[in-house]
This record gives sequence, structure tokens and C-alpha cells, in this order.
Amino acid sequence: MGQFNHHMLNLARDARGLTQLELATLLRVGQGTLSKYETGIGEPPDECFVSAISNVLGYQESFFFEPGRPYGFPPFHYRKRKKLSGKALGRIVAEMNIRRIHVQKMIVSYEMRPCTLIPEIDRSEYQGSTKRPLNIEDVARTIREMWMLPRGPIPSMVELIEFAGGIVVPCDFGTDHLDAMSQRIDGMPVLFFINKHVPADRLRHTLAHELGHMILHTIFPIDDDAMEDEADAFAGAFLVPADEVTPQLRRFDLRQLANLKSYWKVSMAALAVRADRLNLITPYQKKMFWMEMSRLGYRKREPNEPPPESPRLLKEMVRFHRDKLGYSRSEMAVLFGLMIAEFDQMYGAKDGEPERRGHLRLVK
Amino acid sequence: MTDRTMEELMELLDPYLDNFDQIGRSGVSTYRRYPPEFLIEHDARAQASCIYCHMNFEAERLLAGRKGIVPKDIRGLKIWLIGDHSVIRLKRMDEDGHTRNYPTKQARDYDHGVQFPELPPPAARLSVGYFLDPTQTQVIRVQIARPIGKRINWCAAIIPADKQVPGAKRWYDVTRQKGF
Repeated sequence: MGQFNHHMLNLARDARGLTQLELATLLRVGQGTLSKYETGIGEPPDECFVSAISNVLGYQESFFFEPGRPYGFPPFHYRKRKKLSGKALGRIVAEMNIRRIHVQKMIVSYEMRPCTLIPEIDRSEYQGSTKRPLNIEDVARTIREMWMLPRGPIPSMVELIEFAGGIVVPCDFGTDHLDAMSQRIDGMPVLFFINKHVPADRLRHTLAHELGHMILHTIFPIDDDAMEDEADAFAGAFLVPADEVTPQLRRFDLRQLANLKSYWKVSMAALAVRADRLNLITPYQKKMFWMEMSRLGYRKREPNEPPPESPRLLKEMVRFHRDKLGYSRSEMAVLFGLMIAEFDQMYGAKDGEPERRGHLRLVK
Repeated sequence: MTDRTMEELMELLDPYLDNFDQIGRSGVSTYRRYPPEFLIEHDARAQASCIYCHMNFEAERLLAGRKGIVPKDIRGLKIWLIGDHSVIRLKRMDEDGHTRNYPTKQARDYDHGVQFPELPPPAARLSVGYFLDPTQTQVIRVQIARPIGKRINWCAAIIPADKQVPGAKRWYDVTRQKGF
């Protein structure tokens, strides 16, 4: 094992939603001792202490010796972050980092073959010599063309992102204030962490919104509110192209929106926002729509949810390790620094699935 | 004009309640199976017309040929004579049992209880219909209403077969109460 990584201790504690004092109490040490271990000041902890934190936090001992540093939030999502408590934020960052490490470990052996890529747009270059300001509708149309998407609804946003080389990671953020996060880190596929409790219709829009951030804001971050607005506009334009939806939104009522929802597979709320952005409804219609949505309780959960989209690539990577590379469940758990039960819970190994044993080989 | 109460009529209609419920629900569910690219081109009137056709088809399948049931078509107004006590037509309704479209002369006469030579005089003119949720995509309930002119005398909701309690009533009164 390498050197004790104090960042990983911090990450593990955050992932379990414990404060420093709570963990120190569980470990029966002073908070000062734990604080010094977490900040990396002084001598690293001895084997007994590592064993104790492994037991209390439920991670393999090897987890605390993983090299590297955790990544924080990307520059966007500022508004959403403001709504979250420090504890919830810490938990989400920890979850994202832990899942990123899992992917990092798997792509060492699993060769990804993306059919296309998720581009990054440099605003200054994109504008080119035309001096025409960047137009989100144009960007969305360009991406649809680049990925050769036919007219009409996108059958599966998750599949599309995986097709473009991204990895969608379902996570338990422990809050419904945040639907998804995305990360573009050098040497890694673009990662989209999604809150697995989000309704299917909102998930599609959320993924398109994150895709917007990855395309528009990884090179050139701008003002927080402007980034959110652009990503939202991108999601609408990408999922529901203006030229197709405009004639369909000439009738604007709940009945039509419900039918449009089953066609485009995006929420009625997202369609109303789209109609507003395209100036197809009056401010009065908009106001009445949101009042009606609130009255009916549809702002929390809408009826006629489309079928859920589930990521395939991550499962395939795990399956590749288990079936092709011969990893047992316990070996996979060690690889990820998890206990077997948590590995099963995260990656959906079937209950009662027998532990894979090493094959017998004929030795000559 | 009949003077039977809601309870009396609903008791007489009891053997058919599950059929009525199925007729209303299957009309809507068949319509919801249309590909969404067609649904978005329909307005509310087209939707109601399509559902009406599916309901009529289901009614033919479930009711035609049954003893005591006679289908009739009075100058475009399709109705079902049930025994000599009731005559029903299939409609889309609001929660009070009002039908939502602009009525034809036949429909107005039907609601007003105007005598048709084809119908026995004492039969109560009833509407059997579905009441949809605000998005017009899901059936909230199937109900039977007794219109008298523009007024609804009473309205009863049918309890779907899978929610019925053995031995209990298979319908409940949803007539809007008058304000104080």
C-alpha cells in the first residue's frame, strides 16, 4: 500500500454525512487528532487507526491509500449550491469523487469506443469572422447535426450521451435540490452524475442541461446566472427544436402539453418554458399556466412520466471486469475500496449471486 | 317522464355497471394508444370524437345482443335502451356530469326529455361518460348522469371492478351539492 491520503479520509467522512466531531466520537479520539489527520498535518495515522476508520466508515483500508486529490464542484451550479447545506454539499462532492475514482479504475482495462465526442466550444473561435454573437439555438442545432440526429424527439438522452463518449453515473445525492452534476477532467470521459430519484421527464432535460454546460462552459466560464440560463436554453433547443415545436405549440393548454410531453418526452414545465423562450405564449398565459401547475401539484411531480432511462455503459464496464477479466465481487469491491454490500448496492449485483471462484486450470 | 330516484335507477342498472365502466375506460385507453405524433395534431374535439367512436365500438361488443338491451340510432343520436327503465348515451363529461360540447337538436331534445317515437315514454334519459384529469389523458372516473334540460338532476360514479368491495354498493353519489 502507498501513503495514507488524508483527502480520502475527508471524502469518506463526507460521504457518510458525518461531522468531524461525530466521527471523532465514534473513533474515540479527540477531534483535534482527527482534524490533523484530515488536513495532513503531522504524522499519518498508524495501521490500527486506519483499521478503525475503515470499520466505522465502511470502506476498505486500501481506500484511504488511493492517490490523487478530490475535485470540487465545477464552476456552474452556483445557484443550486446556495440552496444546499454544507453537509449535503460535502456528501454530493464526496459521492461524485468516489464514483469518479471507480470509473478511473475501470477505464484502465475497459477500452471505450465512443462513436463521436462531446465538443467544447470556444466562444471567440465559434464566433469566427462573422462577428455574430453566439446563439444557443444554433449551437444546439449544430450538435444535433454533428451527431446526425434525425428530426423529432431524442429516444434516449442517456444512450445519446454514452454514444458520444460520456458516462452517466446514477448517484444518491441524499437531496432533491440537485438533479445532476457533470465533470470534464483531462484523461477521463465526460462524467454526468445524476440523482437517481429524479423523475424520468426531468432527467432528460437535466442531462441536456448538463450537456449544455459541458459544451458551452468548460473552456469559457461566464457569469453564473448567464451560464445557467444558457444551459437551460440549450437543453430546450436540443431536445425540442424550434422549427418542429413551434406549430405544435400554437395550442397552449394542459391537454396539448400532455400530448407534447408524450411525444417529446420532456416535462410539461420544460415545454412551457420552451414556449416562453420562443415567444409563443403571452405573459398572462405563462402566469396562468404556472398557477394551474401549482394548484394541481404538478410542479413537484407531473403525470404521464415517460419510461425511465437507465445507463448501460457503467453496468457494461462492471460486467466486463466480472465476466471478461474474471474479477470476483469481493475483488471488485476491493478495487473500488468498498465493502461488498455497498458494491452490490451501487452496481446492482444480484442478491444471492454466488461468489465467483477462480477457474481450475490444467497445469502441465 | 320517469319519477324513479337515483337509487332505484342505479339498482336497475347494477348488472351493467361494470360494462359501462369498461366502455368509458377502454374508449380512453384505446385513444391513448395512438402514436403521440398523431395525438399532438388532435384538438379536444377530435379527441372526444375518437374516444366516442371507441366507446361505441366497445359498447357494441359488450352490450349488443344482450337480453333487454336495444341499440337505437335516432337521426345520428346513438343510444342504448336498457329494459324499459333507462336509455343511455355515451358522452364525455365534467365532474358534475355536464357534457362539454355544443349539443345538437337531438341531444337537446334528449336531455329535455322530449318524446321520441322510438323510445318508451317512461325510460329515464341518462348519460354514461368518462371524466378526465386536467391533462385529459387519464380517466378519473366513469359516471352516470341524469340531465334534465341544462341541469343535472343527479350524477353517480361507478366504482371500477378492481376497487369494489364484495357486498357493497358499486357506485357512489357525486351530485354537486347546492350552496347554502
